[in-house]
Amino acid sequence: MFRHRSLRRKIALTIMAIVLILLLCAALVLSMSVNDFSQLFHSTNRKMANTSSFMSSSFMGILTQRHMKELAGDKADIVDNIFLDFEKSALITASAAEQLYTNKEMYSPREVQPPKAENDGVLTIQILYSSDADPEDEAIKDEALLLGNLQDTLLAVNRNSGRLASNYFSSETGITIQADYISGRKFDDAGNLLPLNAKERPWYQGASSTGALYLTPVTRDLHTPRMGIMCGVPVYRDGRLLGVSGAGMYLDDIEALVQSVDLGENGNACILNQDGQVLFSTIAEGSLSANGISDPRNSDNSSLAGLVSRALQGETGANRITIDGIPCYVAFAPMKTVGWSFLIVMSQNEVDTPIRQMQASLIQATDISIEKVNEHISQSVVLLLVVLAVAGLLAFLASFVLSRRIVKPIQKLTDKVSQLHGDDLDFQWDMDTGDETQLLANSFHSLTDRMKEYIRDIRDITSEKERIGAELNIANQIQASMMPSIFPAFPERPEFDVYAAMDPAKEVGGDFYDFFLVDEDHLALVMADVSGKGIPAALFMMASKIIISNNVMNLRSPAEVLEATNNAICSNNKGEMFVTVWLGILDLRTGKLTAANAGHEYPVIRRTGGSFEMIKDKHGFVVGGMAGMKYKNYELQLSPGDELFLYTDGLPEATDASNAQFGATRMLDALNSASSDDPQDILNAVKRAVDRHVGDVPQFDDLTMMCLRYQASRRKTLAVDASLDNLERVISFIRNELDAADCPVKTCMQIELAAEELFVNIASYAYAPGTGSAEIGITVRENPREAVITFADSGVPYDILAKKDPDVTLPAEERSIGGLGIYMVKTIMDDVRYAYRNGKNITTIRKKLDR
Amino acid sequence: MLNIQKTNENGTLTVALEGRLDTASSPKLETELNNALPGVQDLVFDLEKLEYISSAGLRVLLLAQKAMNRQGSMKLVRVNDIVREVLEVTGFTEILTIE
Repeated sequence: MFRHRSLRRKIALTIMAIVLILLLCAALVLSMSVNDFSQLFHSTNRKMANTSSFMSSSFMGILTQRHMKELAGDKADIVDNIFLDFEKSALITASAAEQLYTNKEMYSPREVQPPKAENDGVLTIQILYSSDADPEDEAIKDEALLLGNLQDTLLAVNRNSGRLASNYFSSETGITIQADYISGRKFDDAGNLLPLNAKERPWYQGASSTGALYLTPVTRDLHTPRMGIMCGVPVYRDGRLLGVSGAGMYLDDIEALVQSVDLGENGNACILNQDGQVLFSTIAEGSLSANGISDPRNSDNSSLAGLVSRALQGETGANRITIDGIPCYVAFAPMKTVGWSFLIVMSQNEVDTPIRQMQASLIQATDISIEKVNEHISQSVVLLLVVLAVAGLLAFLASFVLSRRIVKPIQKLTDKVSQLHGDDLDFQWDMDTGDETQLLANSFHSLTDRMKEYIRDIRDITSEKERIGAELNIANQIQASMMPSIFPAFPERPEFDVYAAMDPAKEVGGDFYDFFLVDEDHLALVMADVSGKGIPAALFMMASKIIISNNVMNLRSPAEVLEATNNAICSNNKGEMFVTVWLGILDLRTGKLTAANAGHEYPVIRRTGGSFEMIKDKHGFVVGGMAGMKYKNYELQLSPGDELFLYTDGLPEATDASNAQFGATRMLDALNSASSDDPQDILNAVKRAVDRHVGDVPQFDDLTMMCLRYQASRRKTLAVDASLDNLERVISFIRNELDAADCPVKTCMQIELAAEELFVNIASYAYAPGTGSAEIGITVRENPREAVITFADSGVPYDILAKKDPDVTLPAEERSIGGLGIYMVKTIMDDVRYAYRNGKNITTIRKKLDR
Repeated sequence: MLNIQKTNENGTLTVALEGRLDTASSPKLETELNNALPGVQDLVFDLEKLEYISSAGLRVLLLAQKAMNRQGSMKLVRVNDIVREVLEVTGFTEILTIE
């Protein structure tokens, strides 16, 4: 069933290939689109995230700086207030002391007890004396009792403040009234009360020297390791310093305030005093730590130095600088009471963290969405692949089914057609596919019907043609055999040499030539051309030839022959055919040629030593044209060596491709160009010239030519009984002729040898066991000089040339003498020919006589 | 026509031929040889004056050669051109000893 599957496979493969290509194209386009979309989505989201984060970053920077500035200001204000309160507490006490000194009389003495150790940790009012003051001195006592009125003020201020470590008033006289919580620490190890030399203390010295409120630098507390600050306010009366009111405050609260500022991991809040010293800092290390460089204004970090300078000049501001290699936002605000500055530092990184987080979350969100999109895309691709696979499968099935459907009728048709073997052309078709296959089948049906008809016709025609062809062939053979075609035609007649040839244009031609001996001394020559071609012409030619040759034998005069022939043909010429004839009869003894021309081409003659030329003879009417026509003889005298050339119109009228005829001029040139005067050479030369002229053009007309050479000759004959006794006579006869011709001795001996062998042969075998006669003829011809000797007998036909040559290489013992004689003849003579004619064996030998 | 001169010396027969050895004359030579050959060891033909030889003469020479093959040797001496050509043409120069 799969014998003819190639067509099916081709169709199926083609459909599948097309579908596959389309599917691949679709897949390619889709995947490219998906890829483009994915990339676009990616880049858009990334850009969005980056833009938003950039915008957020700059905006947040601005916001942060503003916030930090506010924060720094707030904190600075709080510290300022604390210092204001602190100063106020000293001022109140100073005011109260001034009041006391001014209005001593208004106050009753109030005693203040010295510190008691058990009161430690409780706010108590105490009195202390400097080491140079005598508590027992009356003036001191009075002043101490006066100053005792300050106790309520001191306690109230201390309580009210809540932040004061101690407050006090020290007089120039060395009395100090003090409120504090550390009564227990005022004793030495032995339990003796320690003196308080207030005038040695910085707060006292500062206030007294400046004459105004004085804040000490931040110092370590005398009794505790805590940071503290003290202030002093001088009290004057009448320009005389009476004492200094003071207060001490631990800076715990301020430190706590600084430390309470939450600035993230790397943030820093710090307070710088007017000297650039970092008092408090939330960091332990770095430029702005409490242990850092003494004055940041002298820092190598110029931006930090500049910023701190601005801050300590009392400015409020914020900036972004790099501290210790970390990019930071720094805000600062002044504390006017103390000339300090509050600095807030936040690392940019910290500030930007939320932004980065936002960016990260944005990118994350983008990534997630891209992931989702990719997921969607891959799902779609998988779905697409499935769809493509299903489509491909369907296409495969469809192509298989389709190709099967298309090819099945064709297969059936092919099977039907291949069943047509040989001549069996019965084509049966029982399907009706309704498509081109059906049309093809119908066409094939009618085609086989027509073919059957044609085959029948062709068979009939072919058999008819074969029959005609066979008959034509026979006719051709008959016609050819009607014309003498064995050359040399008369080897025993050296007086003339004749050669003729006919090339028919068709299988059977209308031209003919003829030559025959009317008697021993007369040769008839005929050249004729029948009108028309083919079988009719051939039949007419046969009749004409026979009639002419019969009439020649009877009438001997060419004109009379033509008249008789004309009348004979006209009497029964239903086909209205005619023939042109040139007829000549040559007297071989005298060379006189008598001829008559019935509408034929002019003959051509060459006289010895001259060239070929036309003989413009007088034409009679064609033979067969009209009964009763008269023809006239004319005579030509031929000399030895003269040549006569006869032809039909096929020669001058042979045409080449450009329709140019060969013509008489070319014909004469060709005749004269022949290499020798041998008639056969002459005809061959003309034939070659015609062939050259015509080229590839098919031959249109019969080409018939004949050439006769008349020889100078002196023929002698000897007729003897064929007996060995006459050998001497025969040899003498030949020797005499050869001697007369002045034959060289050696050649003469060779000819004698040949003659002896041939005559002995005739005498021994021709008539055995009876006897008969033999005729020997000898002619010596000139130009070239040669002896032609004929031996004729009427014995049994025997071709001496047919016998196989003896082996002349055998050793003597195996040699026999038979056949050696003829072998010698053939070897020694120039030419040996045998013919059986008119009941005679005729053997002709030729030998040139030149030395 | 044919003159035959025989000389017998110590078993060597010398035959001198003069004239024409042809169909007519060769039977004469054949007869003479038949008579003379028995007992001859060496046969010599002197052909100096032989003018002509035909196949009949060749036949006699061939018969003589065959006879001498059995009883001795044979040679031709003083062969002229005309005869030599005939001998060559017929291959006799191959089977005859010619000096």
